Amino acid sequence: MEIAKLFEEQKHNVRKRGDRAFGWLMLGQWLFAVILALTFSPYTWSGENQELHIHVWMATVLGGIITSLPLYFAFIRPGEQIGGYVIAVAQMCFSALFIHLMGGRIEAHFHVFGSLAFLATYRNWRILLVASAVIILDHFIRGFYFPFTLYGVTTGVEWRWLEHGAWILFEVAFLSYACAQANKEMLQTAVTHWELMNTRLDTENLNIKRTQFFSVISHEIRTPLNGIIGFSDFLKESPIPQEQKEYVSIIKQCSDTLLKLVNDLLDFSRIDSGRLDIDPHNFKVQDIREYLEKVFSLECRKKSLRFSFEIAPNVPSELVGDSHRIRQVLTNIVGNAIKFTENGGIRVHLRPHPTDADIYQWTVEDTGVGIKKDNLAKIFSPYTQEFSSTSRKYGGSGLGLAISKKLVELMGGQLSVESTLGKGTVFFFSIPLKPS
Amino acid sequence: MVIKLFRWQALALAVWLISLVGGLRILWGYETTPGVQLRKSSRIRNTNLVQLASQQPTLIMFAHPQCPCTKASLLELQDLERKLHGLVKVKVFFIRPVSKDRNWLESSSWALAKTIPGAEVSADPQGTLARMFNAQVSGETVLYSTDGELLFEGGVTPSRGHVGENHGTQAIIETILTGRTSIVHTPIYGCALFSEEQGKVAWK
Repeated sequence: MEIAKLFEEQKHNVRKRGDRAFGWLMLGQWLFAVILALTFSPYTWSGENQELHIHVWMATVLGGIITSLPLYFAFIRPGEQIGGYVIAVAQMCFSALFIHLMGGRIEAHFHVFGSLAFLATYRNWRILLVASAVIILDHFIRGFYFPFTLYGVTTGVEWRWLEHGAWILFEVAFLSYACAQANKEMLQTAVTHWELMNTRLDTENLNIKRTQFFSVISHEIRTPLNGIIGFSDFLKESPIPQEQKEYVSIIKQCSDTLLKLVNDLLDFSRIDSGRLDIDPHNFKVQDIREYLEKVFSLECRKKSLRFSFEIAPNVPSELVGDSHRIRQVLTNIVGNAIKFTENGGIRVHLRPHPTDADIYQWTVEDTGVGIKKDNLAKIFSPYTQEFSSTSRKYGGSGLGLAISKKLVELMGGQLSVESTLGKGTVFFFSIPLKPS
Repeated sequence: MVIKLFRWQALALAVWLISLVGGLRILWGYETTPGVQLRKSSRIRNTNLVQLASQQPTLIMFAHPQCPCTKASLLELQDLERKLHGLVKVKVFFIRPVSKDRNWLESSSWALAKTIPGAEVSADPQGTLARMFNAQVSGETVLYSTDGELLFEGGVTPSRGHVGENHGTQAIIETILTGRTSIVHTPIYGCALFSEEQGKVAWK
């Protein structure tokens, strides 16, 4: 988008705001004029006979006419260029009506000056000039035909409209200067906005390129890595000495870690650039339980930890959702839980939301080391772990929880955590899942 | 800068502008149309109904207690009294038809008149005095010299219901301060003191 277009858009918004504000003001003024007329001059008299005063008619009918077109522009077509000019004419006519309804009192004339100041919110000197022209024209015509009603004197009527007009223009000159300054600032804002937009576009392009780069590179890395992992398995099964088998196990372990890191980087990059889609499908809840038990049973046995996956009885056996991503989130959280738990165990629990049948709550509870309260928010940031020493001691890239959080959000939920230092941590998330 | 308008928008704008000008013209017309003015006696004598001051000219205003426009006349009268304090005797007579009670008479205009220092504010039952003076419009003011000579007749507002400098107050001030003796007439803006039927009866 060009700067001029952005500037015009801002001006349109200013006009829109101005139109709406004046729309409400017009309605308020109309109501006020009617109340004023009904309060101070409800009837005109002819001896004992009374009839509705012309002020009441004028406040209602003329006030209504004055208000009608501005209301159309304020609420039906706000922001149109003509709107501000119509409102300026209407506002000055309201000033005339008020001055009349208030018996020509000098205080009522402040409505003119106040209105001009309010019209300056349009940041358009032309609108102020139109309003001034209405006042000057009114003074010129009335000053010519009924000088006494306007100036209180009959002398110098040829030039008095000029004197009155000059005072109006005096105010308009200052207001116009303020408008010009405001427009200058608005233009500067448009330029800054344009620069920011360009920077954002550049960043987005960079992100796309980065994701493309990660996709290509990770594919290029994964292919040989899978070869290493596969042949490590073959090598481990082949008749080689025990010492070499241990070496092969280390190669396999390192390759698995590297593969996970590459996959995490790719996922995070996709999520970051908005290119990761959720794919809902029918799945069996039991399959997720079996998968987690299969993946983590060995590790739990090694650390003598209990592992349980409880499914509430009212959870349907089959649900519709992205089971692959749910599995990924649970794998990350359970993997972390096992990593940071030395005694006790890990409990995964699934139950329907108590008030919304279409939402299911997943909970992963451990009896591990826990997380300090101050660090709870930090753990969801990418490439961050609770302490810098954590990665040294437990390994990991610090991407797992960041990816899990984004994935849960993409599935329409929110990932939260509660923890007590030394006692354990509970991760929970609720996501919408439909029974199949 | 070019403002583009649809044909119907231009038409609506034109109709709106014409209606505005028309409405304001009606308002100006109402504001500047004076009431009926009848000739006054050029000289009066003291009667039971009205006594002229012996030391200074007497300024008499006839008013309708319920007329909203009369407040402007009373405010001008208040201003006149302030400017001519001690040089003129002010009397205000509010008409009171038989059918109307005291609440109708003692309106906000009555209360305003009562605030004018030294002014005599009285009721004019059935408008007898107003008829005697040929007064037809609320706010109608007459100025008589100590020997009953008419010095001024007319209104003391620039237009209907409007305060501000005007010929009437200027003429009264000038007459009292300079001792001018020629009569000055000014237009009167206000409600009719009598209904059309009452007026006809009065002038038969």
